[in-house]
Amino acid sequence: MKNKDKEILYQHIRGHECVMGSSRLTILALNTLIKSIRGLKCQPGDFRSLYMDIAGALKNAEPEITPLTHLLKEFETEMEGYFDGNDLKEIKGNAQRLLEKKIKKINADIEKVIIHGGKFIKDGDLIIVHTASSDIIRMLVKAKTVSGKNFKALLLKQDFVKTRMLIDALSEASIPTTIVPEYSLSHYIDDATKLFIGASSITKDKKIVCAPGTSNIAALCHLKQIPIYLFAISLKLSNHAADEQKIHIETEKRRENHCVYVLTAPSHDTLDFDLATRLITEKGDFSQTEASAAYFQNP
Amino acid sequence: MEHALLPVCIFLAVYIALSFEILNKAVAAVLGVMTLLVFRVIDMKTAVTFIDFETIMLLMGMMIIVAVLKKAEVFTILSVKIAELTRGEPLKILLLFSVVTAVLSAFLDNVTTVLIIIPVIIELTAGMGLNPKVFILSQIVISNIGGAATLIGDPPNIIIGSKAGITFNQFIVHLIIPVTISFFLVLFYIWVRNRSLFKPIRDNLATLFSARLLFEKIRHDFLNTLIRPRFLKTSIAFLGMVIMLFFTQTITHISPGEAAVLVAMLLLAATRVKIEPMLEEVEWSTLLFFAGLFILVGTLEHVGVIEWVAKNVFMRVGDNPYVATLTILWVSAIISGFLDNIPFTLAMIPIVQMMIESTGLSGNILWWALSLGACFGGNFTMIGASANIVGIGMAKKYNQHITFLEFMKFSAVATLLSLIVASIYLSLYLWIIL
Repeated sequence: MKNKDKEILYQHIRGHECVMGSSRLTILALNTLIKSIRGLKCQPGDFRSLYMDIAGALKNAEPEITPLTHLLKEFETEMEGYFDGNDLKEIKGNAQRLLEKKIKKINADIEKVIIHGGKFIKDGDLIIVHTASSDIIRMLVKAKTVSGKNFKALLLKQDFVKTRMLIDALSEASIPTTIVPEYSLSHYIDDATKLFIGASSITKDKKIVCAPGTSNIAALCHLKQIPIYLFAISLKLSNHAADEQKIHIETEKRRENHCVYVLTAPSHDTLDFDLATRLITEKGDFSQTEASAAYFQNP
Repeated sequence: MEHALLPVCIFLAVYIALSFEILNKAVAAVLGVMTLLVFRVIDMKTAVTFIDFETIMLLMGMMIIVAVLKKAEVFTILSVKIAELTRGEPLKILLLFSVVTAVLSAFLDNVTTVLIIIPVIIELTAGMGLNPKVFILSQIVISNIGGAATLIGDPPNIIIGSKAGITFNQFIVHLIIPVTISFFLVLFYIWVRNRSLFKPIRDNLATLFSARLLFEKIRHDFLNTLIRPRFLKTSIAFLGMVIMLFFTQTITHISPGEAAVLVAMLLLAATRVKIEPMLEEVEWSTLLFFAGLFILVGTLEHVGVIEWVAKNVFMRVGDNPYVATLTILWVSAIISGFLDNIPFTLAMIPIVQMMIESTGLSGNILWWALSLGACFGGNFTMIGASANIVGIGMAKKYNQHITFLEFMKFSAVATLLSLIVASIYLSLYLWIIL
């Protein structure tokens, strides 16, 4: 794959990740891969190299999509015996079956995180919601509509597309919501009881790669001793350190009121894992100490 | 002819000012009119009689209808559906978008078509790593070709239809053949010229993946668009109504201008949209430009300049109908390629009328020659038609810079091909009717 094509691909990936989070993006990417394989016309002998071309680009995405990288590696191991078959239809069929298995796996993990996380929503809570993670949204909606919890949400406004998704979902579930700009959180922080955040990945050097703006909010919550709940499937644990996550730095020339400047905006924040009070994964919920012991000392 | 010098100078000054975009079109035309009035070349009462209100009404009515259709997201839905149908195959993108552009151009104005199609085709092709320039240029050229097919497709046709009393159906029946042949021939030329760009992507998994991921993004953006089904259906029904009225003009005796304004008002009443934003979408400066030009050309006719040009330039080509027809076609094409085709068409109307009278040619053949020449000729250079200028400007907004020479390199052969088709068609037409 040419560098120019990779750049375009990563642009699409960032666009999706920004509005749906890395778990949903992984599912979307796997589904897209299945559809692309279905439409592929090539010699059976070329399948492996064509797959490796796109898989190589996806595993080196900017930023890294950790769950996708893990699942593609698993897929490649399982596919090894089928890659070099003589019948393209059979190769494609096997690839599709194994990829569907990966989708089932990540979906099941997400469902478990939602179930475990739901336990932390209590009556009377005022929960700060920042990320557009569809898993957190689903958890809040389920807590209200299925478990009948009476809580409120403090929604921090980001760019319109993300905020609109959150507004639509929360209002549809009749969750009382106050929407404030990200920078006005300090006015409401004393009433807040919890901060819910998601992650793109959790690095081996104990950093959380998350949506831009999360660091400031988490720092303020930490200062005010508001518990921070991190929701992430284990597939988000990366084998790489934070500085290997290839966080994209977008530079854009802007002109506003006769002032011309270059705006530099990183695609993600990094945050110390130690700021998270609890980690909720598909395996259950862990305190900071338990999570550190489980994931970072004996990974 | 003794009072002709001032109107001729004013007309030429306005022509130069608007062809080279020295002044805003409306300002140039109205400034010319005001000079005529101040120097008492004509009085205000006479000036108003030169304005062709049929053309103004048709333009205004269609602009309002298009504004409501835009609000109803008709064009967003259309673009997304077409994008999905292409499945990312470059050749399908060219073919399907070209068909849509040609059909839209035939029933809406070319500038609106280009404004709708160019952003979608740039997002699609750039998002797939293809060179968007070929696709942008192809859609601009196709919009000018498609616009030639109907009375409402391109301003020269609106003017010819109104001034010569030609109906919507007559336009379609007589021009659909050269337009369709030119459309396919130009598409074939674009394919031959850029064959490597249109290679199928089905043998490349990475490109297939990128394309499908892009479609997911387009679909996701589309899902965030607020579609109101009732508003949408009503808008489409009224668009159907106006087209139906165009087709049945000979039965209903409702002129295209009347039909457009009538349906526009009914649409506003039925949908109960806020009127002000819809009226803001009307290009009042274009309407003002047209009104000003009608007065300028009317004055030239009034003082005898047009008659002089007709007698001393066009009628010198002789009585041979083939020579007369092809002269109008090629002269119109060459002039429209470099200068604005709207004032040119307006100025040619009385000339063609005189030529019809002197040659006794029937069947509106000279009108078809003028229409095909003015519409197809607009493709020759970047400044030949409004759609070209707007399309290039729109591409620039998306970081796709197209130079004058780049445009001409692409469009010159396409223009030549379409003019050859038009020449053969008109010659055959003459051979049949004579």
